[in-house]
Amino acid sequence: MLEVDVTLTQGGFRLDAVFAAQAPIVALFGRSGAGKSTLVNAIAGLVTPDRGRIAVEGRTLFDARSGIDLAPEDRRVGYVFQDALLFPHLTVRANLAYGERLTPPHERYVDRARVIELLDLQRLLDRRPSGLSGGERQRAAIGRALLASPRLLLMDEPLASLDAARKAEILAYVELLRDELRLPIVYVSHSLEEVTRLADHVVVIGEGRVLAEGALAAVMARPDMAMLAGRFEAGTVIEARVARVDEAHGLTTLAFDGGELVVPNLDALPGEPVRARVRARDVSIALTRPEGISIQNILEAKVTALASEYGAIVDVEMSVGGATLLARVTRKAVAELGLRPGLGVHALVKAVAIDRRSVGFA
Amino acid sequence: MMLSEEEFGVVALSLKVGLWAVAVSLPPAIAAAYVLARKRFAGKALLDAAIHLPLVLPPVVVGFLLLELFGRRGPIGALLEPLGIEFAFRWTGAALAAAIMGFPLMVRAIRLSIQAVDTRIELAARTLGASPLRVFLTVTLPLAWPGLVTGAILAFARALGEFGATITFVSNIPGETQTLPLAIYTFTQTPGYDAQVLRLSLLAVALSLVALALSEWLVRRTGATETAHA
Amino acid sequence: MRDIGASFQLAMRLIAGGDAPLWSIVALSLEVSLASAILACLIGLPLGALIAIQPFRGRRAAVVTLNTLLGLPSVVVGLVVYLLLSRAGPLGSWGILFTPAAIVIAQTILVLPIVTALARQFVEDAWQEYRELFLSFGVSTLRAVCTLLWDLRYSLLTVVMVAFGRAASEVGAVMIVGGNIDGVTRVMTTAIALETSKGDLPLALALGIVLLLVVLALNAAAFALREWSAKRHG
Repeated sequence: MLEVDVTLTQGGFRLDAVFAAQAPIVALFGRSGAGKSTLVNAIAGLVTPDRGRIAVEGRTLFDARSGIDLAPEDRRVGYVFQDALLFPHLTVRANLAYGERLTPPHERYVDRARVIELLDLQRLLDRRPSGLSGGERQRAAIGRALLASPRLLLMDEPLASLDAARKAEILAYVELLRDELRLPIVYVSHSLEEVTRLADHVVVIGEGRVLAEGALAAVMARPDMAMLAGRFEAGTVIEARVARVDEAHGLTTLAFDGGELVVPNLDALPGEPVRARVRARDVSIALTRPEGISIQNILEAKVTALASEYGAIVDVEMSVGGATLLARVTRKAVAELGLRPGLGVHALVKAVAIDRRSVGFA
Repeated sequence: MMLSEEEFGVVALSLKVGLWAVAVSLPPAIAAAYVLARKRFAGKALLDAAIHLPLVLPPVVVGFLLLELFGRRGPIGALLEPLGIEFAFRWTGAALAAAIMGFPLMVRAIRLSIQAVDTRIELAARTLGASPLRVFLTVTLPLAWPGLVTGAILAFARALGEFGATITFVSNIPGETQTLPLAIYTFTQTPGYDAQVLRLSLLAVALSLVALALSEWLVRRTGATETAHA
Repeated sequence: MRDIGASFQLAMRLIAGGDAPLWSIVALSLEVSLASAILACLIGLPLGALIAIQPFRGRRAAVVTLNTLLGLPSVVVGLVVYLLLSRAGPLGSWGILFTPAAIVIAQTILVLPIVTALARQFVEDAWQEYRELFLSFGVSTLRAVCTLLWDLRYSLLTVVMVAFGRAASEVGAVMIVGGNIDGVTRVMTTAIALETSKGDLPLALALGIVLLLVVLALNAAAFALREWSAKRHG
């Protein structure tokens, strides 16, 4: 349980954040410069808020009114930085041991062998940080933070300085961390993809304050949130469960409140809960059910609103059972089809548009 | 080219004075360099200027000031005398003069290398549970050590060549304060000592060159930036 | 402490009263130091600029020599000059040992490396900006050097001041080649050393104060000039 209520001014920038989160991973999501890093630095104790309170699992780290302000070294908050920040003069092994040695033995709950195995660090132990690739450095940094047996792990855009292949690799490791170690994690990112895959609870930060918070699907479905994800990425998240797997065609069927979605093969077993992100630009609308069409997902929907018009484009909000979908179409199409709130339509979603990167496991 | 006993004594004294000067000024230099590199406080510019004073002032003036402060009747000298610490007309005074003249060079070199250490790495160490002192000892200093060595070498070379402040502060007493440069000077004033003069000068040159070469090599090896070179 | 109080008063009286011996020493100091500073700059400024801009044959040798000179104890430099100028030495026929001329030579050699180093530093920084411009216009090296030096004239003026201050502070080499002869080669620094060893504080103190003021004034002027030219030229 992470409780944050702080106000912080730095230079000309003012941050006012209030939220509380219980989930294993809390994502701090927002555009660059929104104040996410500042917030995380406040939780770590690297900057001091002007007022407020920060508590982790009931343990108060900062409370302006009672004059509590624990030094960073006393907070037991691990921090994985964007550029790893390993100690260049030490081997990976020594880097890993740095925090571990400073933790009193009775507080150590992280098993070193387990972490090395989990993050695949065995081959890297005797190397220096300068000889490692970006992905290897980030793994070592995660390992170093874990071995200090933190009560909370902060990750500030850990994938930002990695290329696409490395990103996918480390993302998988973070998912593993979340599932294996039951360690509360605060994950900062401006990438909707990462947030979808990892987070259960998301806190959206913008303009120095909390714009929205809650379960991922709910937050992402809000119309004002669609803009925040950026034009390209606007869409919704559907919470579903794996219904069945079609081995022959390499397809997985997800069942949700409103119908079924067919997606290219996920490595998943029936019954597993998932989150699927559907981008607005991948959704089309038809008045009648089309025949002889390649699109695999044809869902019964009802138009709820015509949202965000810009230029020639309109985002059409639809309800599909209890879930929400967003379709990006031309204004001309809206006029031609006579789309209006209350109208029953069919939402078409290409199966291939919902790839592995768009699905997160809860 | 063998050194006479007299000459050997001169060299030994110079080395003793130089080594003590560097050893004693190193801890305060590290502290001063750290404070100047990392902290912000009122009067910082003043401290910076004060530390650089020996570079700006003529050495004889520094020697004169030392005489007034640390001499037998000076305020600090009188305080230290009952404790058995004497500077006037003793090798300790030569060491003090050398230390003061070399101090700014040392602080400059160390400060540059401390500034080159990424503060975010120090912050990372704090999040892992290290107190500020531990961070300084286990992260900052090891990463800044090329600057420390460079500073020490520069100060040592400076100490070996120190003349003005030394002769003004503790005079030219053979065996006690007659360091290499002072000995060279004395021998040029005395007829018949040409051979000695030559030998000692060659030695002085050799020692400076070794110190210079060492610091150059270090600079190249570690990419440290502080040198006083052309 | 009473001692120094009395000496201080005497010293101030010497300064204010225009005591002839005092001021002749000061005058000599200023003359020789100015001469060395100018001489060193005439050689060192173009040399430093050249080193910064153009790789030339012997450049490495020049840099190494200058670095070595910078690191040598000043007494050694003084000694070398002494040996050159002594009657038995190669330049003995000039007969200038123990004259102000010898002091000028020794101080010039001592100050040259600093001047060259500073010139090189300033020119290198400016060269970054102008390099493309010169190359694209096909300007000759000589023109480039002259243009840069003129553009940097304020910074170079500060170099002259620094050289002057350094020369005026030198004592070891000056003692050796000058001999500290009363009225002929006794400058502020050597006089201070002499008077303190004699225990004669007032004169030493007076000289020290004047020397200090000269050096501090030079540094302040150099600093102010730098600030002013920075504000003017950005």
